[in-house]
Amino acid sequence: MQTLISHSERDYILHGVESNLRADGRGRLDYRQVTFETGLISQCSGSARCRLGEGTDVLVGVKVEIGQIEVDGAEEVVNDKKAKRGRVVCNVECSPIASQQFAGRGAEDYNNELTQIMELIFNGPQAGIDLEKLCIVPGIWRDVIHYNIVVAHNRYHAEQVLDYAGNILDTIFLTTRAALYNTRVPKTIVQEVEGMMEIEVLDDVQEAERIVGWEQIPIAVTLNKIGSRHIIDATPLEELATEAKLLVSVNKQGKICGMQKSGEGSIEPSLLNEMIQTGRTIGQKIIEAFDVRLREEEVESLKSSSRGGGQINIQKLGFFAAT
Amino acid sequence: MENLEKEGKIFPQFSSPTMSRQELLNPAGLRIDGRRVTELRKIKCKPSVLRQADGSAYIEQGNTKCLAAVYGPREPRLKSQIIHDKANINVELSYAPFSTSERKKRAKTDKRILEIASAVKQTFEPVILANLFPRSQIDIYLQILQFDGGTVQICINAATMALIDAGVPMRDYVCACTAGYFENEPVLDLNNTEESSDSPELTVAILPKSGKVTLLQMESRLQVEKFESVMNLATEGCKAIYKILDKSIRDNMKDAISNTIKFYCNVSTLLKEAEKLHYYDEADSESNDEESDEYQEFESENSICCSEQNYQPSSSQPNNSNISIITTLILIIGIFLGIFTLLRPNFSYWIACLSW
Repeated sequence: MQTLISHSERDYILHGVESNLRADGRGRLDYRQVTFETGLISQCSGSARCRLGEGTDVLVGVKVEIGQIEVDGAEEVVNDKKAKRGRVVCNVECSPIASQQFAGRGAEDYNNELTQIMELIFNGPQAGIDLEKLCIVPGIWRDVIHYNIVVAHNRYHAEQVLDYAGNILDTIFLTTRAALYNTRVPKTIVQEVEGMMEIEVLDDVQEAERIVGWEQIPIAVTLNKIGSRHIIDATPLEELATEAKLLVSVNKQGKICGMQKSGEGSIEPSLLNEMIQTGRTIGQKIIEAFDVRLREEEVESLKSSSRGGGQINIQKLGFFAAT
Repeated sequence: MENLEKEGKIFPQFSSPTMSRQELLNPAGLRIDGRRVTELRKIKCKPSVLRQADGSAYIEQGNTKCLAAVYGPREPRLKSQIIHDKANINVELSYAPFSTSERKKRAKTDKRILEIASAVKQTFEPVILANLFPRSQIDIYLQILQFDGGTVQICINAATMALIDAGVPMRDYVCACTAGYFENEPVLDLNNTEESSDSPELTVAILPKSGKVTLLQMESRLQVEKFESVMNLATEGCKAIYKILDKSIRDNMKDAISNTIKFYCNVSTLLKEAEKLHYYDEADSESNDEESDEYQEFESENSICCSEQNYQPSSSQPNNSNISIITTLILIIGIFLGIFTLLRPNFSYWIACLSW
């Protein structure tokens, strides 16, 4: 069942945006309140849950696993590089809990779309994560191109969208950033035993390391063009009234890590420039504020665990927090 | 960090994982997680966690976490699913890829998942009063966020809470529990390690007040003599779970009601303030009369949280009240005449003569 919007509602939103006043009282460039929590799921290497306003809710789990480096037999130089790196695999799933339209197979296309956007931004140097640090054993070439006995860490993210009230992508990126901050990669020791590589994974929690380069992870800001102005952080009704959407992915330094335009309308070049600049400034501000709170949260949780005497599990609020 | 204390270890891909045959019950009578044989895992639950859904619930049983959302009753999405005399109940289950210790993405059409969803659906069909909502659909969406054994039981418990939160009429709660049998003792509430071992496992769902069984599943072998003790243990477990779920729902209801009362008190104080500012003009003074009666009623019932000032109805009412008395009298006489005319047809003849 598609949600519909009437002409009067569309007009209402249009005029509101022009006067810098939206339905919930925000200005054009105001974000809703972000609530998040990390470390909810004990079976994951890292996890976080983030809620935007009172609606959109995303849960991210990060699992670190050992996997084989896949070398697809292309040129040697390219393979050389690939052979020394880990890999990031993303997966987004919108559950029907979030919205009726995601029930059954309705979410498949949307899931694929979101997954592709994430893979685009997270695989590659722009993601900032030091993939080489994730590599355990660099590629050893027995025969010229095809043979490999190499192993590297893979990292899997899985994002679950639990509640939908507009602006899913921004929330997903913020939650992923929090989850990656929370992730710990267990230490591994490589030993050569009788010519065979043996890898021992240390289970010691204290030895696990944080992911190198997590601060460089970009976040995304979705800008919606309504009329001749643009807004950020749209609610579902506002999303229905948008003509074109621009996703700008920006990192801490203000460098742009990815861009994607979607929607049926078109954007004039001057407005496009303006939107990109807005996305950059706002993105940087969000990252700064978010990082401060991330660090604070970790310090608080460490404090409460040391107070409790180490062994006792931290009572994460998770879903028990007041809605 | 605590979040890395997990049971499964990460195994490198080219050495096969070694399954150590652990003792499920040590000589001291304690299980792997330190519980006794008749001890349930710790249950934490909360209804109304989602805003979009009509009803929702989140429940944690030990390390297994489940989120349930209920939408309905509403129009069915597919015309083929319309049943003419009752509501169609649709259950969808999904596992998050990070829910198990090895990351595994399970498709929604995985046979095992469909089987569990179908079991949950059949459990609720006799319990929900579906014949009150013909040609409509009730959707139950279940999401397992973390898995440590007991899928069916946690899905049923979560769905019960979510259905109650949505206000779907049901005959009774449905509470489910698993039980097993190892080392010659019936054991309650199995976790993942105990389930994956060779011991028999029984899942039971009952209606607590009547003790009726709506689901009974067992996929392993168990001797008939031992079956009864295992069944009784599981039933006791269900009743204990019922108390926990019931308490959680009632607490949540109390919070919701007290919040609503506070809200209405605030509204009434605001309206009184507005009245003092002569917000209503004279034309609406009749309607004022009724509202003032309501305020006074409210104040007398909820004297705890409402404001101190007594509301004085404005005194400029006498003319209006006289007119209203006369009109009601005329109406009453007219009605009586009308009734007499109907009952005694001759009477109309008499009235006609009188008027002449």
